[in-house]
Amino acid sequence: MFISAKRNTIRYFSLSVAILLAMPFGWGKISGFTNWISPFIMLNSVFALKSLVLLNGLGFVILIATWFKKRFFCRYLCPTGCMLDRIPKRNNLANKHSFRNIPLIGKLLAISSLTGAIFGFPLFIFLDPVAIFNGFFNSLIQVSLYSFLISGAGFLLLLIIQWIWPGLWCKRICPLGGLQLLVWDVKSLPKRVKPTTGKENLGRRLFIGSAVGAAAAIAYPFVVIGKEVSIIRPPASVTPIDFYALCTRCGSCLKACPTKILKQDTRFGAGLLTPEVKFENGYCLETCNACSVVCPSGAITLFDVDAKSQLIIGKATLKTTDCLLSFQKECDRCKVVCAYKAVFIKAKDNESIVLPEIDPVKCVGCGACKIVCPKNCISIN
Amino acid sequence: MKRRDFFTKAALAGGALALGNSCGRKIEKTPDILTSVQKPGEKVSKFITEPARSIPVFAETDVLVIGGGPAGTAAAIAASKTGASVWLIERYNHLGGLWTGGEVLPLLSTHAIDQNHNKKQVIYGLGDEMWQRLKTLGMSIDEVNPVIDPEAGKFVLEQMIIASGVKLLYHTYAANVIMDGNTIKGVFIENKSGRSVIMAKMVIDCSGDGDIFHLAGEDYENMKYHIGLVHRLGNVDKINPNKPGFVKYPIGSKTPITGVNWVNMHGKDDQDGTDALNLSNLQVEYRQQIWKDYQKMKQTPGYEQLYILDTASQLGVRMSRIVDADYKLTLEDTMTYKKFKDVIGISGAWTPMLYKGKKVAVADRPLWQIPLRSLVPKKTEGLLVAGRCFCFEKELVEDTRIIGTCLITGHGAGVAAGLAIKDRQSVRDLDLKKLEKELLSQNVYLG
Repeated sequence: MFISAKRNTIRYFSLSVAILLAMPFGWGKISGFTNWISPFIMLNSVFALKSLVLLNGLGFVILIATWFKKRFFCRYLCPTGCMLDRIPKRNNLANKHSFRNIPLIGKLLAISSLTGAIFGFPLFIFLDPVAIFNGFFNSLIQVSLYSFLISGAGFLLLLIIQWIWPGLWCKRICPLGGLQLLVWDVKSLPKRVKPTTGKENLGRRLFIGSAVGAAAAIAYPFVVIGKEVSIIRPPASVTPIDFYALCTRCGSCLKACPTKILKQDTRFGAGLLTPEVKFENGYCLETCNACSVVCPSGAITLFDVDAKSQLIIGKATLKTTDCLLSFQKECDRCKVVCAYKAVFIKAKDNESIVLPEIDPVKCVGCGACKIVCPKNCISIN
Repeated sequence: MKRRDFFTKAALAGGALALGNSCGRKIEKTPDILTSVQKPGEKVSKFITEPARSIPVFAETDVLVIGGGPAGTAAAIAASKTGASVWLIERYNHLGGLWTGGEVLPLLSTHAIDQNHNKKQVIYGLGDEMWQRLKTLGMSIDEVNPVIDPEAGKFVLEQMIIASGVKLLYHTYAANVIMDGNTIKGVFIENKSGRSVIMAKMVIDCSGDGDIFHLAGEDYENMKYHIGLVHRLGNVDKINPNKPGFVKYPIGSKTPITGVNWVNMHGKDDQDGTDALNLSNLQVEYRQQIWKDYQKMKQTPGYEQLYILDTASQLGVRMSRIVDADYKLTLEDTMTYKKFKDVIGISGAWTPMLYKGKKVAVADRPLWQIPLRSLVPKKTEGLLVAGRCFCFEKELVEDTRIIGTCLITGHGAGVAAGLAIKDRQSVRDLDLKKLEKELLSQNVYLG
């Protein structure tokens, strides 16, 4: 396949920008910005949540561009495609069998995912190549080999597929590619031009795909209910069940978090690779909304910093048996660090010893008191 | 228009409208309902004009130190070491303030981490001398953040004052300031002998509550914090936990004297430490409470021989006024080894803090420099502020209000005042080289 020098320049430029933004360099609110240009994530998110944010406009622009230029995103912007193309097509492992007979799974994935999204469950949003690409870079900050492999698994898998069946992912499976082809199909419909591949019947495909998507979306909550693990999610996250479905696993929130309290859930299950709040050395800053700004799918809803006192992450609970105050030692750390004035130090009725108390109404579970407590008396759940 | 076209367009328009309606998914704050009702300020309705009268000048001096707490004592001795004549006035009958009379016995923040991540002692100079003298007396326990005996503390501080040649006046209250424009010229004092005046070239406000800068019309912030009352228990070594019916009660912490514990009290939160009526009420309430708890303990098997040795003679006002000075020390300064050209001392840390959303444990807390500018009030000339009321960010209060830091700021203020008088210039124009030299010659640790 010939790629013009001009197009290559654009591809490598966008690849380098994408790599730069995906690196865990502490970019803050522009971490993983490339996720926003993926029309597949955008459409899934918009369909599932029935609402928009300003940055969704970027995805729309790309989507419109594919109307005029077939597979516009793949041609010019896709960092994953550009990376995969680097793998030599003639290697020892490369399967000689052609995959020409394999149908365009990507289209089916896109249709069922989007239909599912309308019913609240975007089936294959996590297969978005940009999200997989961005997610890979989280493996660079993992501490153990296990979490490195799990974290980078998506992209490593793509590399293996590319090695054995060069081009299979991009041409057949990628749902983002499938979506673009769909746009092209729709465009060619009224003109009665030949659709992308002659053998296919768009109507049937559309029917099967949307039936699968709708059925899966309706069945999904019943499958997942009861299997949820109690996980502390970032502030303004959608409901636990929706979170499994909406989260693209791109890991942008992890990179954007200034206090690094977001960790990837590496347990196998519905929540694999979703962000989990772990208060070890940091807490959820009262002046920060970075995770909600970077989240491309709205799994973490965009919120105002001012609204933070109303967004519940969890609730702090206190065990005063070890509390310094119960030994009449000087300490008021939990009260002082609470930005929401939820901690009181006072005596119970008929007692003179003062102990901290947490107001469950005001507490948002930011974890400040938990991490500052010198005796580890506080837990968030 | 065909029917089909119409339906398509209508559906499209409907969809667009729906999208438009839900545009902007952003969660915004819903306004809070105002729940707290502000207390109406108690208004004084009646006034009487005090007739003008001539007040005798009791003394004229180079440096006048108001308050004989850790900061005031250090300031007075340090100033007199530079060759200045010094008067020190104190409202109670002892030196050491809250450290001794308030029975807040630990000398906190003696240690911190240096840039090579080694834990090291930072409180040197007069503070260290007091500590070493107490050690020699056997009246100090623990090598980090030592706990001292209050009576020994009063004795040692007095000894050092006597040796330094500082003139000391107990049982005396600073009643007002004498201002010439924005320069402080002296202080009206009040005691058994009546009202008199001490004229001074430099005044150091070590009153803790910042009484002097308040009277001088300086800008400040009055911080509301918890106020407690410390007491000491005797015969704690004779508590018998093996008796049937024994219940474990908190009995405070060890002091250098066997069998005597000091019991800290958190007290009520958000108290005004400058409201005399409030202080008086708290004093009564706390002493009643201490005795109530004690009596309950005494009736419990095993505690028969326990007694209250004393309640502190000073109420434990942890924080009140914070002056507005040339420089406001920030949390960031203390966390980043910030270096100041006009450093007057270094203090340590004793409690964990949060910085930029992360925990900084005591074992990781850096030592921090205090600049002279944070002791120089913005408006008033001839006045320095030392002790817990110097200028810092509220987040820092745990480290600035404690004995160790007070000793450091006091020492620095004393040296600065002495040098300013020697060179006949404002503390703002002090030769920083000279200041550093003098501080080092007085054994202050400057990093």
